[in-house]
Parts: sequence; C-alpha cells; structure tokens
Amino acid sequence: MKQDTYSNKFCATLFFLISSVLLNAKTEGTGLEMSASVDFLATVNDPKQETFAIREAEVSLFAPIDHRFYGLLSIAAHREDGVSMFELHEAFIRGDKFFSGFSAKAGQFFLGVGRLNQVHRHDWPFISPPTVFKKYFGNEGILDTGLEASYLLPLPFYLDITAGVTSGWTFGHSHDQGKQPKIPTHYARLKTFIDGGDAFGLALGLNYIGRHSSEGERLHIFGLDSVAKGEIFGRNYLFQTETWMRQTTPKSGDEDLSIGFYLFPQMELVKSFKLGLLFDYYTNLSLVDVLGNKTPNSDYAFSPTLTYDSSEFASFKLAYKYLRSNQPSKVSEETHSAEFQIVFILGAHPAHDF
Amino acid sequence: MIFKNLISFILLFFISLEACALVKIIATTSDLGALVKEIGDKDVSVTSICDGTRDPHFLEAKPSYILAVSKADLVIANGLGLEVGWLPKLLTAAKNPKVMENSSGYLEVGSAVKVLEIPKGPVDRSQGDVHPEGNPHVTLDPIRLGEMALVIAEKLGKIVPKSAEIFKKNALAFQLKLQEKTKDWQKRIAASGVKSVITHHKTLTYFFDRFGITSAGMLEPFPGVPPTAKHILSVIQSAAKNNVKMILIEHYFDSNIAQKAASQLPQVLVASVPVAVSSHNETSINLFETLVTIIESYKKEEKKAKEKV
Amino acid sequence: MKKIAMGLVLLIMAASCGVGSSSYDKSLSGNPLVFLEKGDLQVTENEASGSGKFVFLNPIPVDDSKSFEFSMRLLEDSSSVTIVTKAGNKLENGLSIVFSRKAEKLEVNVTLGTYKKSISDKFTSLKASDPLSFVIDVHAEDPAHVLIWKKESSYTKDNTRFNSNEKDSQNSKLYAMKSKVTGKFWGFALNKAEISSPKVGAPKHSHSH
Repeated sequence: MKQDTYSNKFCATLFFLISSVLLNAKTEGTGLEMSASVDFLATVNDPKQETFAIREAEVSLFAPIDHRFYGLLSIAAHREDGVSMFELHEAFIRGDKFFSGFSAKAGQFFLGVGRLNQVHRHDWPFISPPTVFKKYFGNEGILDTGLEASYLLPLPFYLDITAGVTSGWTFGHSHDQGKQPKIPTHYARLKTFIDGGDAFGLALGLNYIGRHSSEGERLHIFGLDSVAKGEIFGRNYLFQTETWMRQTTPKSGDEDLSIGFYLFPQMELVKSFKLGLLFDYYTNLSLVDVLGNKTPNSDYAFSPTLTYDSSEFASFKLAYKYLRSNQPSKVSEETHSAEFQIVFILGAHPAHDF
Repeated sequence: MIFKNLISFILLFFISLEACALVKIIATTSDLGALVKEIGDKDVSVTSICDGTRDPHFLEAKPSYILAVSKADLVIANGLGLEVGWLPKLLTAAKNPKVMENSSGYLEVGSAVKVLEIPKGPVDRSQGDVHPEGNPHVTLDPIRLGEMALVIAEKLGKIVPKSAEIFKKNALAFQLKLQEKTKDWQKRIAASGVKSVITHHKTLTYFFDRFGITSAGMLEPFPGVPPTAKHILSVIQSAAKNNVKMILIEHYFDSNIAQKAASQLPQVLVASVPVAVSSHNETSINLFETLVTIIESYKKEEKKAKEKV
Repeated sequence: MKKIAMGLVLLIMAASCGVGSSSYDKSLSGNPLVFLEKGDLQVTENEASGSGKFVFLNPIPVDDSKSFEFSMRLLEDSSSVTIVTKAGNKLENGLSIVFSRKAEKLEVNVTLGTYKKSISDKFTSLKASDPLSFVIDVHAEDPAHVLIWKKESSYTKDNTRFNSNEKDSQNSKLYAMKSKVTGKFWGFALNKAEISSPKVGAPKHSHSH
C-alpha cells in the first residue's frame, strides 16, 4: 500500500468533514454516521519511542449508499519518524443483499483473516501487537485493495467462509508503490462457532494467505484463531489466541519457515476493571548457521495488562512488558518496559464482532 | 384407480409440506417472543435472542444468533435504541436480505405505541446511556403490550395471509385479557399502599405509569452508569425524606448495593424483580402477576413488622 | 591396552568435534566466523586486518531489521572494506557497501541485486586515511531501507550520512532500493584494510507506527 504524506489532502478532507457536520441539514436522511477514535500511548524505558504521543487518530464515515450497498471511508493519522502521517485506511463498498448468506466488498480494507487483523488496533484487548503479528502483518495489520466475499453456509451450525483477492503489489507496511506480483495476494478463512450458553462461547477460525511476489518469492501463511467468551461466577472472561506459521520460498535460496502464537486470557475483576496476561512466542524453524547446523532461537514476552473501561467509548490500559530474545548471534537480550494507553471514541461506533 | 390414488398422494404430500413450513420469527427480547407465541400459535416458530435473564442493552452478537437471524422470515425488534448495541451487527452478519432494516421482514414495535420520557433538548453521552427516542422498556405496560400485539398480528398476516384472521383474533383476545387483568392489578396495587419506589435503572417506567406508582429515583447516577457511593447516599436521604417503601432491583443487576442502602432505611423493603419473560415466568401475564404480587408483599411485611412490635 | 587407549582417544576426538556441532575458524568480538577466502587475514579478539573474506557463523532471520556497526582503517591507496549483510552463506546476493580509498578520497558504493549506486558525495567531509566508524541500519522492508551514520552521532533520520529513502525537493526518492533483502548472513571482504569491533544489534532507527 502506497503511503504518501497527505498533509494537504488531509486538511482538505478535514475541512470537508467539518463542513458536513456544520451543514447538518445536508446529511439528514442519508444515514451518514461519523466516528473518530484516538489512541494515546506512553511508553517507559523504550528509548526509541516518545514518552507520550498519539499513536493513531482515525476518522470514519459510514452510511448506506443506496438500497443495495453500504460504504465506509476511514482516514488515519499516526506518527512515523516523528512526523504526523496521514493515510487512507479503509474505503470500500459492500453489498449484502445479493442473495441470502452472501456478502461482498470491494475497495481498500483490512484483509478478512485472523482476529487482530480484522479489528482496528484501538479496539484490541491489549496494547501492542504480539511478535508473530508484527512480523507477519506489521504493527496494525494487512491492508490492501481488492475484492472479498463471504458466505454463511446454509447449515444447522454456524460456518462462514470468506475469500478474497487483493492487488498484492506490497504486503505489509510499505512506503513504496510496490511491484506487480506474479500471483496477487489471495486468502481464505473458515469460521465456526460453538455456543455453550452464557458460560461459554467459542469462535474458531482457520486461515490461509498466499502471494507470489514479482521477484519470484512464494509466500504461504497459515493460521488458527480462536476467541472464547463467557461468564464464570458472575464475572466476564475472555480467552483469545492466534497461532500463525509462515513459509517463504525465494526464487533462489533456502525456504524460510517460522511459527508464532499468542495467548491472552482476561478476567473481569470488578465492574469496569479487567486483568489480562498476554503471552507471546515466536521462533524461526529453518534458521541454520553458515555450516548448515540448526540454530535454536526464540522471542517470547509476558505482558500483564490492566484495563479500566469508563464506558464502551473510553478505555485506559496499563501494561508491563518483559521481552526475552534468544538469538544465535548474541547473548539473550531482555527488555522491560511499561505502556499506558488511552483510547476514546467520539460519535457512533459500529458494534463489535463476538 | 391407481392413477387417481397417485394424484391424491402427490397433492396430500405437497399440502403437508406447506403445513410444515412454519414462519421462522426472531424476537429480540423474550417479552416479544412470548407475545408472538400468543398471537402466532401453531403457525410460527419463534426464537428470542435475549432470553430474559440478561440486560437487553448489552448483548454479545454471538454467531449462533447470527445463524438464527440468517434463517429467519421475520425479525421483530423493540427498537427505541434498546438493541442498538448488537442488533445491527446481527442483521449485517446474517446476510439475510429478507429481514434487514427497512425490508418487509423487519418490524420495530416500540415506536408503534406512545413513548414516555422522550428527552427534551440536546442529548449527549455526558448524560449517560440516554435513549434519544425515549424510554424503550415499552413491553412492561400491559396495555401497550396489547397494542403491540395488534401490530405484530398485522405483520404476521401479511407474511401468512391465509392465517391473517386467526392472528388478528388471537391478538384481540390477548389484548382483551390484558385489559381485564390490568383493572384487577390496578386495584391490588392501590390496596398495597406502595406509592413510590426506587429502582436501579428506569426499566419499570411504563409499569409505574400504568399502575400509579411514582419513581422515587434510581441507584445509577446516570443511565447505564454503575452506582457510586455519593449517589447512593443522596438516594438514601431522599428515600427517608419521601417515605419511600420499596426498592425494586431488576433481576439482572446485583441487589447487594440496594440491600446495603436499605439497611439504613428500616421501613424499606428490597426485592429483586423479574423485568422480562423468562423460563420462570413463561408468559407476560405471569410476569405482571409476579410484579404485582411482589409489590403487594409490602403490605404483608409491614403487617408482620407491626405485629412484632 | 594400547588399543583401548587409542579407542578412547578417538572417542574423545569424535566427541570434541561433536556430531552436528559448529566448527568455526575464529571469533571476532565474540562473533564466530568462517573464512571464505583466508588470504593474509589476521584475526584477533577484536580486530581483523589484511586481505581476505569471512562470514559470521550465526544467522540473522531474513525478516529482522538490524544495525551493523564497525570501525575501520583503509591502510593504503586503493584499500577497501566491503561489508555484506543479509546475504547467502557465501556472502552472495546480499546488500553490500564498499568503502574504498582513492588517495585521500573516500568512495562508497551500495549494491543490492540490480541496484548499484555511488554515494561517495555523502562522505566528502571524511578523509579516507583517517580511522572511520560507521553504523548501518538495514531494514528488512520491501524494498529494503538502508541508513548509514557515523558512529557516536545521534541516530535520527535527519542525521544520516545516507538514507535510501531520502527525498529530493520534488518528493522523489533518489536512492530507493529496488528489492528486499533475502539472506541471513553477514561478513566482510577486506583489501589491505583493518576492521575492529564489528557488532550487530537492534536497529538504531525504527518507524514507530
């Protein structure tokens, strides 16, 4: 995805938004809704990051376009290299009235795979991306331009299949237009659900992403995601986990295989307060030294996270992170850091998935 | 002869198929689900998303609900913002064009009756979880419930025209029954001596309006905001001053806070009350009967207390 | 008895060689290395000098962005130091940066696949005969992103000697790489030069996002 500095374009966009709000009569009857979210982040003991900065601010507009289609447009600003960068996040048209069970969307959007990749970062139940997510999807997820379709199969149990094809000129965060791939990014997800009543609900997803780059590198990513939610002893709980494996085969050279996962159990302590523990692990399975000997390596992290939800529109998180990196070229490295996040939402906000 | 029998068999087969084709209805709340059962009788199969044990404002949009909506012929919702946190998600994810908002298979009943507590002036989140269209808990008034029955019957009649008259007859019968019962309940509540009541949330507004009870305040400082110590203190002071007799806590809220408040108000009776049809009160009439009985119980408790003295 | 002793010695030798264990040539600043072209290279604890080529034993995952730092001296005219990063195990197909001495002038060239650029004009204030120390960030993005600083400077984007994502007044990237890095190994090729204290670590500059 190409990213330019949109500062002039953003100012124009902001002007348009403000005009739209002020000229309220013009939007009446259109169903246009606006939502803005702001994500502040303070980090301690990490010299690369500013102490307290806006990690991201996002403005979204969404509305029915007509009797068949729905549209969404979101623009995000975030700091990169100390400069505020504005970029188009999502802009797509979606239809879900073609025939029963089927919907499709076209435009630019976060790919419909996994759990974190489909949820905007400010809505994550923890602050920072797990290692495997950062390595495979970047800091906030894979965004691309293309087509995606979903079908809820007419079965007595919940089974939804999503598949998409996107341009694939880039994959992950890029400051370049990229190059036309030999085979564009393509992906699929199968999702099911087990309902255990109030005590237990479990959503499971099986994922695949593929791409064949212009340089001939073949990429395959496989993933399993699950979310369990329910109530125990009157307290709400959440258990979220994703496991991903990536295989890259360059045109010439050795195949690279890596795997990682995260676990996030979280429990409500008292009303509005939740405590969770993020554990994440990542290893490269095909790392060998110059002489061809396998070299063990791993990155793992623990991050207890305390969340206070003032309401569904404002949340405060405090997390401590211990990261240990065991890499072959040096002695193990440990880092300790603390993060404090504030997220607030202005205006309407679409309801969340399970 | 054989040919005639074959034709009869084929005809009977298709007639039986038609009979098996029940109209699948999704009701967002158990109150609406119970109402549909009174009207639809054998022609409909109804599933309630919120089963009456949980606060309908906050529900997870579970995929199992999405599956149910995807197979529905009609979705009946309360509206007035009650389900705004989860119903749009279910409708979108279900991808069922028949039941999407503004389609013929979607019905909101709340706005079909007279709505109370429509905010005057600007509304925003600093006032808590305020419903800009008015108080949505309309199903807790038996008279309004009867009016909604007729609206539902009309909609069902459009979906199953051959049974339209039956639906209308059932709805009218149910409405009449509710009207008769309401007169009896009004007498019993008047005799109970309970004139003002504190609740946790404004759930019983329509019930109080019908039965001449005044709301003496809420334990939550703002709609949807948990009780604070400061606010509870002010509620206690107000209750003592205004001779409040009961604190009724909606069954899906924790009654401990109310119990602690009542410990400082010896004349006050605290009771946890059902505010929706559930497996314990399977019909709306049973639900109202339970509410009236709980309010009546104040008189018995008062009598017991006097006898002890 | 002699046969048993011989057997034991052979067993000990086999054990010390290790089935599946690494066998490297030398260690430089704690990093084991393997000679690709021994030449007349002399390697001590922290310094390698002479002419030759070596690769460090331990791999760096392909998708890891790293910083590489080292000090060097170009001992005579036409000396050169080539640092190759993110390459194959023979230092092929990597990102290589050649520092060479032409009289007092320092010439610097960057190569990655079909990308070949001279960036000598970024180093005109430096004398090739002086001891020089550099820190080089190689970011495993698509395309790759390279930043070069003089050591001990402030490692910000604006303080680089070279930044492959640098834009001109028309907002064009003059030095943009054309491809990503694909290898796991790094090493040096020396030609009548000396390097010391080579280190690999976390990138000095990250795109916080």
